[in-house]
Amino acid sequence: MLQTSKFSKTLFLCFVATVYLFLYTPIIVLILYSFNKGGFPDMWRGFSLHWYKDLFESVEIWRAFKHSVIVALTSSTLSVLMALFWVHGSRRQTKDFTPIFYGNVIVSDIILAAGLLAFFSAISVPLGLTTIIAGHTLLGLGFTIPVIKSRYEELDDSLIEASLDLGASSQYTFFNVTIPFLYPALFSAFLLAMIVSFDDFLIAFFCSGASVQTLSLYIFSMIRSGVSPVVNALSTLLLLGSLCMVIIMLMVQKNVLRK
Amino acid sequence: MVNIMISKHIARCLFVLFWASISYLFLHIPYIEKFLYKDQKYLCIYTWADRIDESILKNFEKETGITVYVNHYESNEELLTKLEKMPYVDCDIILPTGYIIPSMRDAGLIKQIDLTKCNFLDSIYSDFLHVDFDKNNEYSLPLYWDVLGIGYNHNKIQHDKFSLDMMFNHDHLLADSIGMIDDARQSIFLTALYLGYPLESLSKEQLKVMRTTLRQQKKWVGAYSDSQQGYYLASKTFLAVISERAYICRQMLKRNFISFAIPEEGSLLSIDNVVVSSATKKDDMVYQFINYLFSEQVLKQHCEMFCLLPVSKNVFESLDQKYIGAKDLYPGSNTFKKLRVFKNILTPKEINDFWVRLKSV
Repeated sequence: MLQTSKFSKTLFLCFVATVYLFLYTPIIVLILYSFNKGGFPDMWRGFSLHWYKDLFESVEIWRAFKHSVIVALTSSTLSVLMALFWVHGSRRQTKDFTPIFYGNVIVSDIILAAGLLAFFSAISVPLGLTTIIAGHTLLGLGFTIPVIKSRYEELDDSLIEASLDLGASSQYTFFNVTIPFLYPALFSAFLLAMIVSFDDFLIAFFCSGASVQTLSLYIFSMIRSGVSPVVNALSTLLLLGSLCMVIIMLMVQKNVLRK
Repeated sequence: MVNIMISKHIARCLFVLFWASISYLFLHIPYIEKFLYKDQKYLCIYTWADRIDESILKNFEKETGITVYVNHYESNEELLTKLEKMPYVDCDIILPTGYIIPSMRDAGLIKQIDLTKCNFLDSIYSDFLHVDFDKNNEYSLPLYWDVLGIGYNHNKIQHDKFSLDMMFNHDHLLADSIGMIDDARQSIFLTALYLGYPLESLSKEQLKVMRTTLRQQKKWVGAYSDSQQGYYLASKTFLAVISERAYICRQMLKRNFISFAIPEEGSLLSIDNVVVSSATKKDDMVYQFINYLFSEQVLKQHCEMFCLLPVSKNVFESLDQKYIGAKDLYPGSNTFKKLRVFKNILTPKEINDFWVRLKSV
């Protein structure tokens, strides 16, 4: 009996290890190749920081990165604010129109992107950073509204009523009772929208025009001249950045739960 | 009571109007930006990804004080669609392939080039001037050229002569599985050439036969790709691929088992050009940059870095054979004489329908 349980435990561990290996092998290869002296698809030719040096010297990559950061920060801020106002504003509505925003997630990105391009050209809007931000804000709403709404529904009405009963204005109550309660959801929704924006290629491709390109567009165009290990170096740094963000998010959540 | 209701509605309408105006203004920031930065010295270039190196932009900026922003497109069709859809284009110089230039000209997206401001015209091979897509070079100037051909692993494939039969006919295949270009226009050209059809006009019947030929070929095509064919050879995924010379040549510089050959039937000559956007009002800076781009030092640097072939005679002659990658490939050679420019005998819709019907089966 004991032997069977030991065997199944080992089998389970092997299974888990295989799944993790399957999940993380591409990332490990990516990180390793960022330190490879040779290019891609060369074999390992020794350790080098050459690609990181190239990365930091490249103006184009950092310009594209800057655009991506501007787009991600602005669009996620806008979509979180819009989601917050929508959820708060529609709390007393008898009909719930929230599901219309889920369409952004259900509809394929390419259809949304083509639709946006058609819309922008119909109203003569110049394509550029602003149109990408508008597109990503729209896309982000599909993610931020459900997150904020589910948290909002947990908010005990008696807390708001108590605040109002004690003489606080509705504005004061909103900023000092509702918002603090929503902090974890706002933060998660912001991060989610930011990641979606940073990852997006299709909307940026359709809405970017000729004067702006985001990091995903730049990496895609780099593929033409070869899978440069500079991309690996950049991805490694982005991975580190994402890891830091996840750690911060976990710490924030832990603090909130403790309180 | 009614008054309160009316004022409430008016307030709501004003609220919506306010946010709609803010959104509209937000979307039109580029116009405002253009007005704010009108005195700044900068140029915007729209080009294929592997045509301009960053270091030459830095040097240009250092020499002239003009900042150059480069943005990339992935296909000529994407370029045309984006420019047509944009009411306001912040783009001064474009580097498109020849066949798309008539469409750009007809759509009013490019303006005539002032040849008197170009100081390099004498150095250009006459073979690349007055080409079908812009007979008098009123709108475009050739910059680089390239050719389609067969990339192969010469450790496994040893032939002296190569023909399209080796990629299209199952009985004479170079390898069990091959890589094929993922470009409708180029594929149509090669198939027509293989079948011996006239390249000046193609009937519906001929197109049908071509589609059948390409469908047959699909059975031994391992992957369709534009820029990855070099990797397929380098990683030994395929032993033979049809690709543009530059992609194969880049791998030839790193790996000594790869070669490139031009089929005996001839092949497609593609020419990259410089055109000036009709939206630009910075003519002085534009010609300053075009002259810089055509300077021998810059051309040579690009050709060596990206394995491009220059239209400038002096630069071509100074290039090491390893950057050319194919034997007997120079303007005027027998191989060169077999190269052809594919005229726009099919509409973009016909080409697209042809490709979609091929790929969807």
